[in-house]
Amino acid sequence: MTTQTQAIAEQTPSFPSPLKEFWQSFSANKGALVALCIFGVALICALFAGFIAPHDPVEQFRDHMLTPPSWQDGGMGTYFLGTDELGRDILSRLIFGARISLLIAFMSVMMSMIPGVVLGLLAAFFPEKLGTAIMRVMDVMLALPSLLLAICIVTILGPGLVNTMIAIAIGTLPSYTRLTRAAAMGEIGKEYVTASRVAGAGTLRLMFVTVLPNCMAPLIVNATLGFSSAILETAALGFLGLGVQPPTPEWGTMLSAARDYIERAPWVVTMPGLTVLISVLAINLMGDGLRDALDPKLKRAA
Amino acid sequence: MSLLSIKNLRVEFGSKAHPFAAVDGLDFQIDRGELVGIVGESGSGKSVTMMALMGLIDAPGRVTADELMFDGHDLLKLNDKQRRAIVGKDIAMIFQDALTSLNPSYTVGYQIMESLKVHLGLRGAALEKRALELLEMVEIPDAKNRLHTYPHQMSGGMNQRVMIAMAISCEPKLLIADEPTTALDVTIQAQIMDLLGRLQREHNMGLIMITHDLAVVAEMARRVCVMYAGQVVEEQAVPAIFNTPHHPYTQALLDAIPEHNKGASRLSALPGIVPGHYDRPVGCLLSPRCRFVQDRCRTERPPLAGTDGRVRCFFPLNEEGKPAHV
Amino acid sequence: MFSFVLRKLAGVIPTFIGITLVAFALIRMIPGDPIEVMVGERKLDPVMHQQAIHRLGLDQPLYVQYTTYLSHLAHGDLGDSLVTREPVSQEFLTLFPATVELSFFALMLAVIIGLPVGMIAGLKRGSVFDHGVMGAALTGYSMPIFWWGLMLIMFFSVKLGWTPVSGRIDIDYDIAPRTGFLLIDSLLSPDEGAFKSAAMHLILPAIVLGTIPLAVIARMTRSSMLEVLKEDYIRTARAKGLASTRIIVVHALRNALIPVITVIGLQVGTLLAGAVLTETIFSWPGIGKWLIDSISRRDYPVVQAGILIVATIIIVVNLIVDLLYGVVNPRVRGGK
Repeated sequence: MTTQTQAIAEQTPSFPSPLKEFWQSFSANKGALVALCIFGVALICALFAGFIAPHDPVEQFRDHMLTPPSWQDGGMGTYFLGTDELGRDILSRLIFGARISLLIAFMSVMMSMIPGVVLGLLAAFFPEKLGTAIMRVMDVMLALPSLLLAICIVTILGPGLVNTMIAIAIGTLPSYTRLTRAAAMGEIGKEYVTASRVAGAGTLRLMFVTVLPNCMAPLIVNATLGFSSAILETAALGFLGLGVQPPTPEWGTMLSAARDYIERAPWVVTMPGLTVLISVLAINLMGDGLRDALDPKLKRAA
Repeated sequence: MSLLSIKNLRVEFGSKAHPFAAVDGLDFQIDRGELVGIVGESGSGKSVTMMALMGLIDAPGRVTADELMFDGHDLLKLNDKQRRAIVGKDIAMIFQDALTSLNPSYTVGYQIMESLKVHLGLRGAALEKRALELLEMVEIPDAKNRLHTYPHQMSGGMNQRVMIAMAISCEPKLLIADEPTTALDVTIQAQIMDLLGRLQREHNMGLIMITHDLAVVAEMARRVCVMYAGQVVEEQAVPAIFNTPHHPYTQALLDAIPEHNKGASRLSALPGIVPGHYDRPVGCLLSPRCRFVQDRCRTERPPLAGTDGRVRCFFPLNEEGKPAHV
Repeated sequence: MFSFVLRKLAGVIPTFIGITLVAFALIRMIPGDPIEVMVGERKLDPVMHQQAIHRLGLDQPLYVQYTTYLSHLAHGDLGDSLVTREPVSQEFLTLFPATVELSFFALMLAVIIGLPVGMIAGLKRGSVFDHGVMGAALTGYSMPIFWWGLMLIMFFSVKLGWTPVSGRIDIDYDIAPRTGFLLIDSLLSPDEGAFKSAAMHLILPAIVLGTIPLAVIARMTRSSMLEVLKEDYIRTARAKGLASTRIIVVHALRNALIPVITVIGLQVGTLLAGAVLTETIFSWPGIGKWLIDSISRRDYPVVQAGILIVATIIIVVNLIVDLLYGVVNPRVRGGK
């Protein structure tokens, strides 16, 4: 028997707000937090590359080609991670490379998610008229792995930064369409959609205001994974000589020239790849953390 | 001595700092051959109680009790192997949704024969014979062919019969039925209930019938326990509990039955909702919603007390024939 | 069952036609007419240009060109390589076994290690093993595999000298290509040490190519296991008093492995994409390297054929996986 007389009157439940609940779940995942910090570092590098990088990324220091990193024999303080085969400072190139990779990844995700989601919603809301046609086209696009599809597009359009963006975007578009269509079709069958429709909501409103918010959880997770795979594909295209072209400092492009220097100057090979690994790892960890924190919560928000 | 005796069972979830007691100090008893109903709405803790009994509550859930005795065995002190010798053999449980409770990748016959193999060591012809007997006992037609069908090829009612066959296969002393008919059509419901009643009488099993439907227990049970928010709030014999309920919650359940509301313009219903994790009252758990609430109810938790029936209320109804406060 | 197979087959045909359209359109989408594209920077005599256009049927209406293309395909004619002047289909058949051998071993590696590891991680959720496996898997598919290959070469080939740097076998050996699969052919050949050489050459590329499928399979198996363990029928199995071993092996495993089959099938796409990168690094003479070389050499008939072949392989594998899924999962078959 308790005697807490204060607690009698209004026992208002203290439910935490959705945002707070999300942050509680997300931050409980230590890995996701670390990943968020790493991503933050990458973002800062991308945004403020001009201020952070010690040197110009394309400037060639002919006197100091293939200098080892500063902690090894022959290393110099000014070139912290060493220089490449043309005497360019690797650290600066990596920092500017962050800008390129993040930019391409962001743009390609946007360019594939927005049309992909719209197409998916259209396919879900008009299954007879548009649905079959759209999904057939997507099936064809999905018959090729996204990297190979991107390679095709780059073959047609030619190499370069913008074309890389477009190629990767086209490569990932079908997965957003499929995902949105599946999620939307699941929601359309539910009663709250019927209720909205009966209350007089038009199709456009139904699509974007009623149904879409409830499909967001898997979409956000997919977008995060799409972001990281875009970075990998950018690097792969750069490595194959089909993507961003030298002298633009892209991590994959840096690796393709470095192949010949495995024995002589291993840091030229190690550093760019390590950067890709760490960035992609961080984003994937964040994506995992997002998925764990979002899934049950957003479903309740319906 | 009772077949099953539970004293002060408590099942907690969540962090140790802010635990959520799904079952909060439950006492319960049942004898061989008795049919007792446990009634309560969703969230009352009725299923969790039985799962704790069967040892099906996993970490992070924590099960504690002063006493948990079955057929002379102290369930709290059994090791894994000893518990498995009893569970599925002497105590059996059937669940609400029979289709999802059966393994979709194995035939019905395989799943029934599994218990017989593991607990009774039957093999070969004897095994198949017994499986067929069981299917006939639960009134499944064309039993021989049914042995080779998959759960998804049969109706809900059929699947529930299979579940029952599986459960009684080793002649259990106690059968727990957790809302066995909730997912079924009304006509099938009646058939399954009749089947359970008949099997219970024929095999002299103890049967605990968990349901949220009062009509179901009215027909069959000898005694009814009403649960609310993890506690037993009333326990009385049938039909007394329906004629003179002692707890306001029981009264509210009876009032809400559509047949009792003939002529009314609105169905009578208790305002508010069952307390959850964050809004548990300090006093009686029903106090925020009870029509007869008084100051004492809000500050103290009433104990379960009484003679010919037990009730958890400071001001029980229908004693000496009138409510305490109108 | 038969109608199930037919339905699946019928579903695949429009996709295949779509692929042929894409392959057909590929060369024509490149700026400039196909002749100019193929010729490159060299100047072309206008008369010869016209003759070439007529000869290749490029002055015909598009739908006629397309039907011609399709009929060529039906006869197995994929055109001729611009660089070698040999039929593309022939080059393809010579190089394809190398890729198949590599992909096969990569996938074997991925399944043999990934499946059990994923299962155990799922059973021992939250343990050190689980976290370790998940961390390794995450790293595995976050890695640029071309860099991973270079790192492994750096360490095992250059530093330790255990494995060779590139190629399928030491150049000293000249093995008769009976099956095209070097491991088998080297066993059949009289040369001593040929098999060992072939095997040593295969190890590193197989590891590199198999890394991502391994990571994906391990993760998928784990999550599938976790999903299944939450199901109602597992609760029933426990309520029947069955031992945990039996519950896991008999009740959980069968159902947990079903989605994993699909995932393994889907890895073929990843393997083909990865083969492009892996073969480039290890100078492995398969169709991946062939494709990339052809792009830089502007050997467009090869590129066109390569895309068609890869897409067809993937469609066929997906079809097989779909059918297998129907075999394994009784619920899908009946059309209930």
